[in-house]
Amino acid sequence: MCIRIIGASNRRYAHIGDVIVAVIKEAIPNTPLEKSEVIRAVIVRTCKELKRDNGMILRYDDNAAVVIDQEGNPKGTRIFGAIARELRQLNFTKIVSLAPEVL
Amino acid sequence: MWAALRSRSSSLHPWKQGIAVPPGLNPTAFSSSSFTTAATTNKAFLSLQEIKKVLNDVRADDVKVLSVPNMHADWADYVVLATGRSTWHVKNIAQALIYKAKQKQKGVDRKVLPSVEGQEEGKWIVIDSGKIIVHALDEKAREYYNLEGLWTTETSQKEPNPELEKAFVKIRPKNNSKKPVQKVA
Repeated sequence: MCIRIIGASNRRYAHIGDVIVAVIKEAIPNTPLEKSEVIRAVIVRTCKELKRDNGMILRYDDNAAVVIDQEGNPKGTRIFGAIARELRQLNFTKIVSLAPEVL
Repeated sequence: MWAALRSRSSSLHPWKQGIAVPPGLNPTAFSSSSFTTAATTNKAFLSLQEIKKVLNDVRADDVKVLSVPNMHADWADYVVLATGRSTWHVKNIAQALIYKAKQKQKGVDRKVLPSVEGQEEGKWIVIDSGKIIVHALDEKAREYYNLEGLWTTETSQKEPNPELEKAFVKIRPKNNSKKPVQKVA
């Protein structure tokens, strides 16, 4: 669950490439992350469509974020699913380089 | 241990001095200023040989160059991996590459610097210079993220690796029924 968007004042919704402060509502057992932990995460996929300047519209089936630490290193080692190219321009090259597919 | 450190620091000095007075750089800098704008965009980014040379000069360990499979070809051609001995060393690797990029574009009106990520910390620094992406990692980080494993399995994909399979098994839906679980066989 998202608590707050970082670097935005009074913005209600986060979009692709935004860093959010979030709390873990559900966790897989025996993993480094536990339930009710406060973390930072980058939004990588949204159901809400993302418009590009060339008229392309990008829309995913799910909302997804990648858990990062304060410095921007991803907590995990692998990223599943496709990722938007905008993340590279927003200086999340680490996440892009771990992703299996870049759209 | 101190002796080893001292020898290491003294061995680092030559490249510092060498970079401060770059001997072979001036001709390229002058030629780049005379090129047309189309050529300068190519000139703006470091080539693979130059990156290799810089990494060799700063004594980065275990340098690996991986070509990116076709699926990713639109965002990068090559991925260069290098290991530093400490966070300082990793930072130095990044600094040397940036310095080289700056030197290369001497005299150009508008310098294009590679975008750098993670410079404050020094565990994993990514230098994104156009078509070539350089990852400078700490020893621990390199082991942890296992980037070469990711990129090399990517080329010979089709069968998912066992780690992935395990991860998917773990996210099976929970059994919320109150009935005691009956063991099969």
